[in-house]
Amino acid sequence: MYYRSSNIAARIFDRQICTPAPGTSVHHARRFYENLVPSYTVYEVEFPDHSFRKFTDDGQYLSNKFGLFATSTAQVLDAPADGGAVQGVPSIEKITFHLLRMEDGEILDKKIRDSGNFVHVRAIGEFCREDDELFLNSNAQGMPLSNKNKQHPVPENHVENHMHQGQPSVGNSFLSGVKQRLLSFIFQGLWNEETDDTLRIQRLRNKFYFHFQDYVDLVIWKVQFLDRHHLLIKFGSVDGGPQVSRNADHHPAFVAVYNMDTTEIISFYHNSADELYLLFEKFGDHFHVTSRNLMYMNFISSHSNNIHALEQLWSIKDKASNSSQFVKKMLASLPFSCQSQSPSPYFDQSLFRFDDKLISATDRHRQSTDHPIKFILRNSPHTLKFKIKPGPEAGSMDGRAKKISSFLFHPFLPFALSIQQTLFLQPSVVNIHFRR
Amino acid sequence: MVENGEQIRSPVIRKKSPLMESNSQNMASLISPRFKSAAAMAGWDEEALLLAALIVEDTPDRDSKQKKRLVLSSKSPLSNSSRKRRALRNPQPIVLDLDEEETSKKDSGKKKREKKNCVGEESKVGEKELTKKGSDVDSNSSGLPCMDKLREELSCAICLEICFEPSTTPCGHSFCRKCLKSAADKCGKKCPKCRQLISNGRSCTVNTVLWNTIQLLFPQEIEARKVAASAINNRQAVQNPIPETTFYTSTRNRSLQPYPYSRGMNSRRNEAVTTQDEEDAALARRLQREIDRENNNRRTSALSSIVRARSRRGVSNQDEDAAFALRLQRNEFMQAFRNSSQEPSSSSSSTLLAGPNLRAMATRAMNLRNRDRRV
Amino acid sequence: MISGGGGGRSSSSSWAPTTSVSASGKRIQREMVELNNDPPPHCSAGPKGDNLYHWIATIIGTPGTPYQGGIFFLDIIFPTDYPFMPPQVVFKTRIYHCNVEPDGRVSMGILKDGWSPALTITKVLLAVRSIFTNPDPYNAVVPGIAHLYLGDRAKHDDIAAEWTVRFAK
Repeated sequence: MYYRSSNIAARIFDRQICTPAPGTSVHHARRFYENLVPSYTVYEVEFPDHSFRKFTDDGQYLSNKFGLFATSTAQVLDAPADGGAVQGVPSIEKITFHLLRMEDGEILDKKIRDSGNFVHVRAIGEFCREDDELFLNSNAQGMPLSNKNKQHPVPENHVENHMHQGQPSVGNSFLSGVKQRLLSFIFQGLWNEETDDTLRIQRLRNKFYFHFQDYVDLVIWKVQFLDRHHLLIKFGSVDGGPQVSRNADHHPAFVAVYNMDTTEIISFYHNSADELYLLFEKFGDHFHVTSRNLMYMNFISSHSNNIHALEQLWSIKDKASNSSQFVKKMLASLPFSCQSQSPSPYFDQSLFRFDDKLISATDRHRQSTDHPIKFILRNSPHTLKFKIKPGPEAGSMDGRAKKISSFLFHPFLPFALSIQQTLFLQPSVVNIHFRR
Repeated sequence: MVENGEQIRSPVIRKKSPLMESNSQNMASLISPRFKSAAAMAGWDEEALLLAALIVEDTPDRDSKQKKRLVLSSKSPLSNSSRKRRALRNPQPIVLDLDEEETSKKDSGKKKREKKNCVGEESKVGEKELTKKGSDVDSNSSGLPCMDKLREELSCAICLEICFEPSTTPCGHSFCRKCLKSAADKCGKKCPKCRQLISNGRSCTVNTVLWNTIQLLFPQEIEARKVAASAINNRQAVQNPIPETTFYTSTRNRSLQPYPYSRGMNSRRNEAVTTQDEEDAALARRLQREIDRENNNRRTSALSSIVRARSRRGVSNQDEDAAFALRLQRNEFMQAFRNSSQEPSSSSSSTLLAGPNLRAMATRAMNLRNRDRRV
Repeated sequence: MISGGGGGRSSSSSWAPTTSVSASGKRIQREMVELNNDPPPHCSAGPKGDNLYHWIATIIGTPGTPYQGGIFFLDIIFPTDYPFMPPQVVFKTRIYHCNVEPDGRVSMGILKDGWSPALTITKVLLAVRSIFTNPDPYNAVVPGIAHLYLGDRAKHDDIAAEWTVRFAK
């Protein structure tokens, strides 16, 4: 490790004469961002009232790429599988929307037609394959199919923010498709583990049959895509909730990997499983759905690809009193919501250190403080490079009002917007941060 | 897997091979006194014991570290279940272990299920068929090597316990009298096993030979059930079902060693032990009451019924039995004396009294002779 | 969770002791022991939660039948006067079978008139398993399937296998 000057001229010279290790050119180039920082702020810029915006990937435009659909029955689950081109509405036909219907927990894949209607592609829940229901009906052969079975499957509930009370399960209805797969998977696992007949039955009795109804009562809380074929499904009890991590002991939660094509459950974990945590720690990037087209996504820091982020995680782990509580807390963020992450190099943990409770690559509203958010160099000389301060320059008038802020960083230029909002529908305060 | 702690040699085993070679008639030297006493408690005399011992397999000597000499009986049972075949491959010799009660209980489930290769006992034990599965009762029997098979054979198919007051259908199947009655009431007058018609009159008679055999073979269980049955009748309460865990521990810990076990059998049914004492006390009180009354007939029948009940109970508290016998004797004598002084016709009453008295004494004597007095 | 106690369990004083609730409970517990010690092949069962009178059973689809590879869950509900009344056996997993009603109820003689108190749950499970291998089309509750079974056995087996793959894996 040799001394690197933080003088930009010296650095350009170094770049000319020194050959970096192969493959590190991008990282090398990014180090220049240590010198190019958005150190100036224009406060309280006037902006037309847009609720949501984002930079396009090439940094050319602002757009409304992803819409949040919040109808009474459905909510967008994840980013479109084909990340359509960006300029707004015209490309929406290419998007497959994946919705989780609240009433019965069916995962629906729908495409939008020219006419603007939804077209049903696939529904997972009651039935695992798209033509299961058709098949069932066609083979009725004189079987009087009761409507009861179709209307009231075992209740599975939905996703994210809205709670919806499912219907109680009717006595003799069949197990729904995903549930059957799940129970089958658990049963097979226990059956194959123990070869001795007596012990096997005993184990089955204690671990499976005893909790059978609990398993049947599990509802789907959240789903995300792992890739084109696999879903990561979080199951929980009906009265628990995705936000409830403190009372996690009373509300068992499980995470399952499900292959949509083969309709198989690949694996099933309790939310305090160490195995799952290790996967999360080491391969956390794989849990984020990344668009194949965008190279920069590889450089978003996470604890799986960045030592500093990993150290941060480990420090939390060491401070945690109870290891299973820690695991549950970490895994509570799974499945990941469809939030985009900013590719800006200023969020690169190898370059800068910042308080990630106040700001981070994840596109999320955060609690706002009056203090500016500092970005400090990771490398020597560990100096403060720039600050981002949302809100009015002089601080807000009303110190007690709760404020939230969100940030919008340009993909590669030293340019950022900060938007501060209060919860009382007051006009938001927008600042521009740039390099003069 | 076989040698996990239960192969403490009993004297029987050591002397087995000479027995097999020679026709030694010296029974006393062959069978240890302790073994003999235990067997006798179950009603096995020496001859029967010897015959049974002939069939019992040679069990290996743990201490001697010799190769196991396992003599597999050629007369294998007829069933061809896979478990049987497995057992034949890993032959599990019968453990006649009287020094340690708990040995077989500590076995894994697999060991318990492996069959005991006792064969050829059909003639000895009545209608014993060698079929199917072993039960989870160990072979710590008081002399009979095939207790589990016996248990299975003598179990009622309706309540799955040992037949209590068994009643046999015309088609030859036996069930508890009450179970059969309930089945006839609720499911129609067909035999539960083979669905042949059973006529009304037969359904209530107890098969006394079978019943006596059962009482001799499984004294504690019958005792407990009697107590429980009388408790139900007396208290008129629905008893709570036994919790699973205690039930399982009781199933596993059940051994058929009569005397010391009955003392320590608290885990099984607490109420059994306490009510047994209560029963004794109640009987003693009743006896006292009966004796104090002037009614001869009632007294004699009460006494004889008490005596019968006592004899049926079989192998329980010897000391109390002895005390009871003494009490009975004394009371009878006193009564006879009192009666003779009061009424001249009491001579007949005294002869009336003498009858049951003698019967009681005879039963006592018989039981005492068969037991090994440890007092 | 399941409330403690059997379905409709009550201490009726008009019952004789042998048909009391505890007698049926004892019998069910004994059957559990028996099942534990000598389980029938490819079958298992156990109480659902702490309710002794409500069991779940699992039957693995018999190899060699179109139900091969499937895992079939069944509800077993014991009446309070068990064993004098038969248990109710209902499939929770969809199955294409001429002796299983569309709502999952199993139609077998021994579960109706042919019930005997000497039958145990082991035997019942074995009987259910046996209808996998040998359906009884002459006492079918789904005539359509029975007709297909008798008329075009290959097609019946294909459909049954398809059902197994779709609904029972």
